[in-house]
Amino acid sequence: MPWERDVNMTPQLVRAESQPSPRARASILSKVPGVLYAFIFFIAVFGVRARGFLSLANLVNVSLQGSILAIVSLGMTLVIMTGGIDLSIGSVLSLAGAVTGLLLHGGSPVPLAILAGLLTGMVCGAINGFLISRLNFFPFISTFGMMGIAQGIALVLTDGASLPGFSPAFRAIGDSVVIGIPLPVWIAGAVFGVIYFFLYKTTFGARVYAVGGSKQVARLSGIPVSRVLLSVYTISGFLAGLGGVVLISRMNSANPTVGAGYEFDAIAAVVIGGTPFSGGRGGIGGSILGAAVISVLKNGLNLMGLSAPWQLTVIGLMITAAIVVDVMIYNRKS
Amino acid sequence: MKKAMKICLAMCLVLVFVALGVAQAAEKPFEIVIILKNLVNPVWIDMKKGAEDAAARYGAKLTALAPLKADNNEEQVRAIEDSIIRKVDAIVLIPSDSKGIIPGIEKANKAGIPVINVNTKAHGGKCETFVAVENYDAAFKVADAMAKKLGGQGKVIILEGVPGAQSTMDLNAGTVDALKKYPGIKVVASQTAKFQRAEAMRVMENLLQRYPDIDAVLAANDEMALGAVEAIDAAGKTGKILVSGLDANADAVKAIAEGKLTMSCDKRSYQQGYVGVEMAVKFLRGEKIPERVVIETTLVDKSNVDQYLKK
Amino acid sequence: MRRFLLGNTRLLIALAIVIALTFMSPVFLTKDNLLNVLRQMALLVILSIGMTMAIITGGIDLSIGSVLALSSCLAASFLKRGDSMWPGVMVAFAIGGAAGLLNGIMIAKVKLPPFIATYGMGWITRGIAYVYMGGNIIYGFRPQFRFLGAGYLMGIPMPIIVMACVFTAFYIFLHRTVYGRNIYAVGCNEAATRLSGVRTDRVIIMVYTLNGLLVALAGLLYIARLNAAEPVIGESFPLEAIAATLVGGTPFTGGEGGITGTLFGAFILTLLSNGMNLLGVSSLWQSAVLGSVIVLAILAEEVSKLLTGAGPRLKRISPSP
Repeated sequence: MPWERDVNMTPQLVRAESQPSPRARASILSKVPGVLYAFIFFIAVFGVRARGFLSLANLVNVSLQGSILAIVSLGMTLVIMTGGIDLSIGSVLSLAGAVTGLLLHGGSPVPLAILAGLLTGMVCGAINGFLISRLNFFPFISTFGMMGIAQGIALVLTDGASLPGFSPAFRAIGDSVVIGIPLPVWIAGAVFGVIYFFLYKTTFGARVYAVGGSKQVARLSGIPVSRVLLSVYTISGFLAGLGGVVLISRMNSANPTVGAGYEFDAIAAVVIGGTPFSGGRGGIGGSILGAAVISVLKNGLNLMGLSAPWQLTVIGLMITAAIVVDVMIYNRKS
Repeated sequence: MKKAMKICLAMCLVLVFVALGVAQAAEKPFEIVIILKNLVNPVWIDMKKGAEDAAARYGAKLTALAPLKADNNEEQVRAIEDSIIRKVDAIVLIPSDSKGIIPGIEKANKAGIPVINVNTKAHGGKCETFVAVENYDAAFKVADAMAKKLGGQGKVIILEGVPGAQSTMDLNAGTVDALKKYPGIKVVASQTAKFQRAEAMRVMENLLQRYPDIDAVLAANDEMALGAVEAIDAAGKTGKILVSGLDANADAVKAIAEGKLTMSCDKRSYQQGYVGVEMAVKFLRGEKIPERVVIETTLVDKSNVDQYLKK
Repeated sequence: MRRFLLGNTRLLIALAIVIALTFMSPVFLTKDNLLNVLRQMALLVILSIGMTMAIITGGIDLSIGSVLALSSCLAASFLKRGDSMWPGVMVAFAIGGAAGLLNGIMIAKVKLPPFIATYGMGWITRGIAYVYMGGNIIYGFRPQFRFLGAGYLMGIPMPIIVMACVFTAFYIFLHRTVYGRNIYAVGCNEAATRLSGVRTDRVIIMVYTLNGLLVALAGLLYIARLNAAEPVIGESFPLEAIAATLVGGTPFTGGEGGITGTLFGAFILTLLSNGMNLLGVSSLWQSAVLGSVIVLAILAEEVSKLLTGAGPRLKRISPSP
């Protein structure tokens, strides 16, 4: 697997293989062109062919639909930047939603329930981080195990049924609109802001990139690799929890399997956004664009009334094409 | 490399336009969208066919949407949201989560788009009518008939659907409640096979090791029933163990005729889709439609299988 | 003795599960049930052998489930026509091989990350399978074909025999031929292998093509056993095969591991689902149990490495020249 692979290479080989440019670290849109072209292309096509696509109402609609993917993709970006992966976010999202839903049904106050949901996510993420950083688990296997465990617990807690009907105070998270923009979009924006700050204005960010570049080099240069990994997975779990809270508020019900598949959408968003699995490169700006591309694709195809089997094929072609173009541009530059 | 890139881009363009050519917008007729649970199970395909035929008959334009991740509630809500943006005239909705779908229906209500609820009841929001096939009733009917066939005595295994899905809960409740009436019947195991044939075959093979002497298997759909039939066949126990399914799809009907499957229940998926669209058109024309249309379900077994085989 | 025990954690875990299940369920340790477990694991083993090779080269193949669906659906429609089963079989291998070849080219020539190349391939092939089948299911194959999945040879179910043949062939291929050595070399250090004169791109393309062919074979076994083909099959296969490989001790870093471990990995996973069915574990708990056991299996291995002094993985691997 490309992630973690640089572990057994000398620094020279790492450089020969992945060619990190000095600017890569500084720019949040380090490798945007491919995905940006794809984005513009999709908007142009849908603008012509899909009714109502270019309306203000749809802009609000699609940004609302994409906000949860954007939130979890930001966590996934950090994880992939360290050369890891987090397969558990979909299940953790479901579990956090289930915990929040159960507490709300049990009559606990809204802030407490939300806090519990976020904590659930954090704990799951921290367990992943602990296994990966202290016990040298492969990220894939640790988070794969967590995927099963979190999904199972979510099903057991809810007894396999979805928990419906929350108070208006809780529903406000997913439903309210502030200055013409839905609250989930604001939340995604705020998460972006905070992660942007930590990634590019603090030493934490530099450490994340360094750990992804080469764990050995990072360790030799005195970076607390374990702590960086632990925090990255905890953040990813926390954001999955946040996504879960927002999603169940938007759906007004906590379904124990609602998050299934989010992990792959998030991975696709990150990778389309130009953060490679080899770690050490990429940026969160690209991931937001990646999440936007995926959401716009699904929305546009729905607006055109394309039926599900065709949607599968078209999305697969589009994602692959976007990445192929991206890689080609990248190869040509270097 | 430049040339390769150009070719690649050109290919993308062509592909997209070919794909988009499928969906041409028309002007006048009613635009109806049917939102299904998935397009994986023959049940929904039949329903889609019924809906298409009704649309053709009434001159309406129909598009069928379904979640890419089968039975995903969020994607169904998204499909409603997108249909509102498209300003369709009516939505025919088969919710995969009776409760989770409510916010979507409320949005359609707010946008003034009528919603016709089919197959699985939505537990909130305002729907113009409910074209009902109660999964609970169908499962109850089959389990009751099976229990009678067993003479009220025996050990049975229940094969459940995808954990957490609405239909799983309804079907399971119907089966369990029917069997409760017969104290002589003992449910020795109730396991999920996720509505899938392969999974049911695997689960059944394992269960047959533990319970070689069971008398019947009650599966929550035909796919699982047919998987169980294969496992039982491989164990050489065909005929000794009764198997029931639900849906009466083409394979199941054939298996009933061959004597491998004991019974199933025709939920008239085609009819459901047809009536759903018919109701939508009638409502849009300003005609009065009933609050609830009940589609009768029929047990299918050896006695009446011939009329299904002809179809 | 201590070294042996600690060095074979997978064997021990499998043994522990076997012993536990023997005590917990009276029917577990019967010839019928053991044959049943072996038959159920055959498919996973065949798929995991391909996955293991991909992972040894430092790659991955997420498309196997979808390619299996497409190849078996198309094969099924050919199997229903004509008098012979061979056109259908050929079609399956042609599609599996072509998809694998395409994966290999995208990875080795276009330089796409394996995860993405095969992920995209997965979407596309699954989509085509859905479109081609139009929601129908093809069922009821000729007995000649069904023998492959449901037949017996000298009292042993056919899938077990196929699994044994495939395993032996690939064991020899990986450990006794220069091709096998090259696969490991590519995974250890692609750049160095290339510099030493090996056409690494060809090695990678070969691995993914072989993987595609194995997927096609697994697909044929699958539909022969199930007596039906539908486009939905195999959605969980990639993760199951990856889990079998990793539990079997082949790490993502590439260059290490092998299919013997994978055989045990697949055995452990199949035992678990068999055991949960036999013990009547609630449907709701099953995924949690599976996840926990995977984590515990790897945990046991890490602990044993610490005890034998092999050290954590990161420190164990020395930088290559």
